[in-house]
Amino acid sequence: MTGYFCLVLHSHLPYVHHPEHDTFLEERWFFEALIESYIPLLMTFDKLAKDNIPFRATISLTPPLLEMTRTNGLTDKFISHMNKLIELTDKEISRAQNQEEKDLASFYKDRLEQVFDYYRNLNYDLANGFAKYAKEGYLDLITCSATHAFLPLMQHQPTAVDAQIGIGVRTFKERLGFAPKGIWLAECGYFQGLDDFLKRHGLEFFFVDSHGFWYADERPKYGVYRPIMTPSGVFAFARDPESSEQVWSATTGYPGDYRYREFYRDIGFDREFDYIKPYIDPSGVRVNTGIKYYKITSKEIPLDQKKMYNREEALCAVKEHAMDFLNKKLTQVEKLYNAFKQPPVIVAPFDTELFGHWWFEGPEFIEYFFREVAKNRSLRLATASEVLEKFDTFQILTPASSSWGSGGYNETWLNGQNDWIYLHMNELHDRMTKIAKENVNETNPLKIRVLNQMLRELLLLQSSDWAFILTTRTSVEYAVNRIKTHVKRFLDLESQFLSNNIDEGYLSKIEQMDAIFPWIDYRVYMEQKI
Amino acid sequence: MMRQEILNFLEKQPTIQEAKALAKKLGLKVKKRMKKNEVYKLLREHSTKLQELETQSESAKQTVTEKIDQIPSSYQSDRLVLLTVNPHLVYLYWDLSQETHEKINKSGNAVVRLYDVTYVIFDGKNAHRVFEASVDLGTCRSYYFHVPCANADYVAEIGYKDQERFIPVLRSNFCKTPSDYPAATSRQRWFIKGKKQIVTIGEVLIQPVERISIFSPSSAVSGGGKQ
Repeated sequence: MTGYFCLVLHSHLPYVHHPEHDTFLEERWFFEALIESYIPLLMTFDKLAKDNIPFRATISLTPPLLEMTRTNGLTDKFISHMNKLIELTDKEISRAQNQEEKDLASFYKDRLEQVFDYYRNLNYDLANGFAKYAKEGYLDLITCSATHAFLPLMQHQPTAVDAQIGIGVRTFKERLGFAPKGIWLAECGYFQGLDDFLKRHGLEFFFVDSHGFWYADERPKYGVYRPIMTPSGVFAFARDPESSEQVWSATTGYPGDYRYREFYRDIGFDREFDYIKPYIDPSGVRVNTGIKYYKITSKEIPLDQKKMYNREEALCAVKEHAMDFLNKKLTQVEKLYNAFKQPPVIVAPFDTELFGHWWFEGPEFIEYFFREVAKNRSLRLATASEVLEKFDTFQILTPASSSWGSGGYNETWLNGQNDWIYLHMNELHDRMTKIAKENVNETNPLKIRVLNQMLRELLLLQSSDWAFILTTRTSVEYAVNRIKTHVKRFLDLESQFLSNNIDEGYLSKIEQMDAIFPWIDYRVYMEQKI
Repeated sequence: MMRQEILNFLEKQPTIQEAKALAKKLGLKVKKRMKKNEVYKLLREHSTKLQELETQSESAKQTVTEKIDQIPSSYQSDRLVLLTVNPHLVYLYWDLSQETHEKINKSGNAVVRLYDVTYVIFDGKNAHRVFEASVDLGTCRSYYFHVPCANADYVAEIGYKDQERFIPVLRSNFCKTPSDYPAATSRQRWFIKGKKQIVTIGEVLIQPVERISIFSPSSAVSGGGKQ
């Protein structure tokens, strides 16, 4: 044995819940991730477990994701979404122009039905599926900050940081039934001192980007290839830059191979309007359906000249790439082992949605890679907790403040496109702290509901997703509206509370929409003694 | 013009002049040097934003969530907040009360200052470096400072200039820029499972000096022994 490999998958979606509408475009993000990534990944684990492959992965399930998976309204919408998609594949089978198209349409139909059955068997609860493998030791499940808040930009507000972590841990316990050992810091966002907060909430480990170790307060003897311990006694792992580049890179990474499925050719955009209308957004905005018939073919040619996707060919590519990745890892660990005379730890973190959603064949890549690893003796798969058990000595250092965003620091979440958010976030934070402190002994149930809902609005405002969307310019209108909505709801509730003129109807309506963390207690927002 | 109409138009492979004419008609920015494919692309992109047919309007209404146009643009909180962007950039914003705004503005010389206070207990005068910028409070509510030092502590003030003298009115929180270089020390500390003692190897880290900017007689004794 010459080294360990830690696959880390970060599963996150912002909390998008609009019970006030029968369908809502952005709720599709959740459905697509379920259909294309989360459930196929669980199905992959089933196959591996059945064949006694000792696979290992560390997977974060963020609180917003966990909260959405328990929301009945979203489950109902998911069911009707699935029924519609399956109906669409039926239509596709009948309208197919040739055998190739027909086979692909049938492939999608089978796949959707399998996913649907699988989810039904899980009782429509994703957490169940992952928990099973965690109990059997295959997976290390970890949590995240409550609403995926980017903590480096909140470090001047210890109460906010503490509440984000505390509520993150609590959500995980509520949904999984056991305490998380580790945490994925949203966007790998770490600042010096954050480990003290993690310690206080019983978290044993977290992850940082490579330069978090490289520029730490003391030099890491083994670079990014061995976890360290912070002075507060929490362990930290750092990302291996090579593994990410091989898999993730838009230009040289595996997902760009010509045989893989083309993401941007979708029948949601290709079909004539009247035909596709019932399956896209009711406003008439065309959206991805997930039914895609073409392969990347070549990056140079335009979308309308892509060739038909061939599943067999794509699976061949997956096998090649899984082998190639394994060989690269073997070379890497051998080199590192020779240098260190100690087994290195390769940490490869990715967004879960890369596998399946963006890279359609990603779950199969993981499957084949795990199968190949099982056959060799040099590289061993391990979860983060297992790695910590394997070593007896850990270097003590404080990682440098860092993130895995563009540039490696905070610029993705703080720049000319989104800096206006922080005026509101900071103001609402201070008001929440004040009102929680002044009303710590509140006993009136209605008033307690208002205070709790104010905290929900603040937490939702703190999601890093909105700032991210404003930077990437993807769903800007939606993100801006969400920011303003949470600010407005918070201020409305605050003014009703202060004037002792609470509109219970309004409160109930908001409680149903922003229905995250039903057990929340505003008292966590008391000034912390740190 | 509806989405389908634009797509039908493009299907007919219009000449560049025709395509440009349509794009202009739709109010899109057409550049002189654009090639045909670029104009096609522009139109195609525009079309994706359009609704398909008039019949959609009713259901469209349904999906537009409660529109909120106005949230406060100021809370008059007299707050000055400093946030780190990266090792060489920090962001400062201010939210002033009417009173403070008038006080600073009256001078006609509103100024923001950023102090490098690394390893210093800041007393308003002992910063290693001071960065200063004049701001127009009427149009400007934030400022990005480029800073030379990574891994350094900063604090900011907003105030005004009275002749040459700076009168601070509000002070911000402290913020630290991240490091972007490897540590200079060769010291290593190791935790060994089951042992309380931490093993230290290599050069012991020299404590940083308290003040590195100005020598003053009062600090001369602080580094040495107990006199």
